[in-house]
Amino acid sequence: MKVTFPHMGTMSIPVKSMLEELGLEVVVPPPITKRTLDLGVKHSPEFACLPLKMNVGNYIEALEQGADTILMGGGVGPCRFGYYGEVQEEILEGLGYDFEMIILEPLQGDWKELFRTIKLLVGNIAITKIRSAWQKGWAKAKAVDKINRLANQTRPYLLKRSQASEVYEEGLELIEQAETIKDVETKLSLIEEEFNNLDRNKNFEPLKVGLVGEIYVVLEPFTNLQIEKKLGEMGVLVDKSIYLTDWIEGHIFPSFLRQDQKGKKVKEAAQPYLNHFVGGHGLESVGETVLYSQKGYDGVIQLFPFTCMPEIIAESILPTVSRDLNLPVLSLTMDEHTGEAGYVTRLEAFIDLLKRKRRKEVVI
Amino acid sequence: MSKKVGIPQALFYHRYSPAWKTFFNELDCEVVESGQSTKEIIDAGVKLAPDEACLPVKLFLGHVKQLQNQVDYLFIPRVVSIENKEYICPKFMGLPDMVRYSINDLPPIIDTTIDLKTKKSNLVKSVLEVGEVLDKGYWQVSKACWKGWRALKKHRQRLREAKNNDAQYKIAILGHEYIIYDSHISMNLVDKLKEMGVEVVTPEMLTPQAMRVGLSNLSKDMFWTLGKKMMGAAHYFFSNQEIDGIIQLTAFGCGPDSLVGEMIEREAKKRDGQAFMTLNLDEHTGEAGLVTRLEAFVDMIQWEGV
Repeated sequence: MKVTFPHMGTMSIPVKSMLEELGLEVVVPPPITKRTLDLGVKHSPEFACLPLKMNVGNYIEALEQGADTILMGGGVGPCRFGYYGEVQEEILEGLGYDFEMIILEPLQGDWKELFRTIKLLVGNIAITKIRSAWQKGWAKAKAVDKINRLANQTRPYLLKRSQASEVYEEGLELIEQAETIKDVETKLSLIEEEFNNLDRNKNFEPLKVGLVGEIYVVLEPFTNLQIEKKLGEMGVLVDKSIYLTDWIEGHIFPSFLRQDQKGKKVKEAAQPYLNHFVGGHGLESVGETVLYSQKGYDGVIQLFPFTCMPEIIAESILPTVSRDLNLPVLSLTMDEHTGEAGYVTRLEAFIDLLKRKRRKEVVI
Repeated sequence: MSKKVGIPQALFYHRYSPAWKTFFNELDCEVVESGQSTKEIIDAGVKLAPDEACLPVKLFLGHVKQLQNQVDYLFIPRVVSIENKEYICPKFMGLPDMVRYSINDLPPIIDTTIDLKTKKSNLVKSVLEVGEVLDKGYWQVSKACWKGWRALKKHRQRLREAKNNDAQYKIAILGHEYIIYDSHISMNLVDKLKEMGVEVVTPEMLTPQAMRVGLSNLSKDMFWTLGKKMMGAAHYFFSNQEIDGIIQLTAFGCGPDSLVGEMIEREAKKRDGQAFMTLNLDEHTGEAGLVTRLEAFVDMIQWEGV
């Protein structure tokens, strides 16, 4: 059995290590390229959202490399993601691939179902083994998120801003190669040190921009056209409102294991504008925008795939939030046709606007 | 003077209007409807909504705009769920908010949450909430709710009985009620087919038993009530020899349709004996083109002699 799974940002690093620890042979799909996107777009329903198409591209490229089992997440709605697996299976079967699809449905108080899925995947296995595999995967997931944050926090201050990405890429490789949890920790401090040793611009006050929106597009640099790097190299401090580990902690962990009550805070912040869960990250997009304003950010960018239902609701509310809080918000819809030049122009215009706004405020 | 409650004639209006109208009439309110969709209503909606919104939501906003200055209240419930463990679609959950932040100077919105995801009796709570807004007593509200339910039941019964047995061919139409029964958006598709001598069957005409038969063919339980209904109806139609052809109507930008429609289309391709066509409708769809496609579809069925 050769297992594969779709990409989402740096998710492949922890997932690969976790599955390997469980004794599985893993085929990581090749890094996302234009070809991945084209394959996905060609075979997916026209009006499906972008992540579904990217997933299909990932699967096809992984199946070409010999994978025969696909691991995918499920869901209980109302966002379309919960039905991805079913549709994708149908698409790949229609293309004549020979494979098995295992869909991990979220826990609904039914642990038996989870164990059945795990058993299907790895046969009879000791619980301790599952635990250690999880711990190692979790450590790596935490580590990659941490260096991503570090890169974003360091980049605008550097004399040579492109160095941040270099250290970051290098760091990802180091963490991927780490054998044990201890090893992950040592590598992590090594990378941190490297970030600290880069030459910085003194007395520089960067603009601060928060990223909100749909998780896949925010986390996957290919689909958001490397927005963090682009903004960072324009000298903007970027903060992502969603990280993979935060999301898992907030949604999959039982509530007593959650370290902070961020979810609750976000909900409270969104309340004056949107008082009900609307699926996906719609509510979070509104709430996080309010929180960014409270934290003194200069602007917020909302990213989401074309036709994403929850984010469209957020999109229709955000202009009011923006007006009320005097915080510029830019909504960007991403799909397979998004052209890089037009995108960069819009980002630059937005940053110009923020700069002027700040200068004006200083004068007053 | 009785209060005027405005109900936009879009989305769930087409499913629940008999119940809603009876309910508000029983509460001594005057119900004001926005009327059939027109070009002006669609244009107004397109202007108000975000570009990415789906056609039905744009249309809804247009209808709200139409009612804006005519009523004391707008009835736009937040319909989260109408079936156990199922949702409608995220946009129904955020509809009152989308309306509120897209149109300025609106009369107060009655945006009661209707969430029957865990238990059906939650409806009573929602209904009483509406009563509270209109300042009506418990008994009057309960009675109005009961009468509304009766009216809805009668309406559904009538739909099921509406059959024309003289027609030579039978075509099933798959799609949301707010598309099929909106004569402007669907461009009178049902009447046009009838004029061509075709009997039309819609999912609403199926009995609950027939729906259950259709649903037993699903691999994963679906969490969208409307999508599930469409899938169930599709499978029922596939296995029903009397149906000569199936036309699927989808709305431009509809999220669930993009996946459900795809699954139904793929299933249809695996079978033969029934003609199948998908029509994606948007605000630009031209009537002449639609008629041509319908004529071709009916001709095809005739030639095949199925």
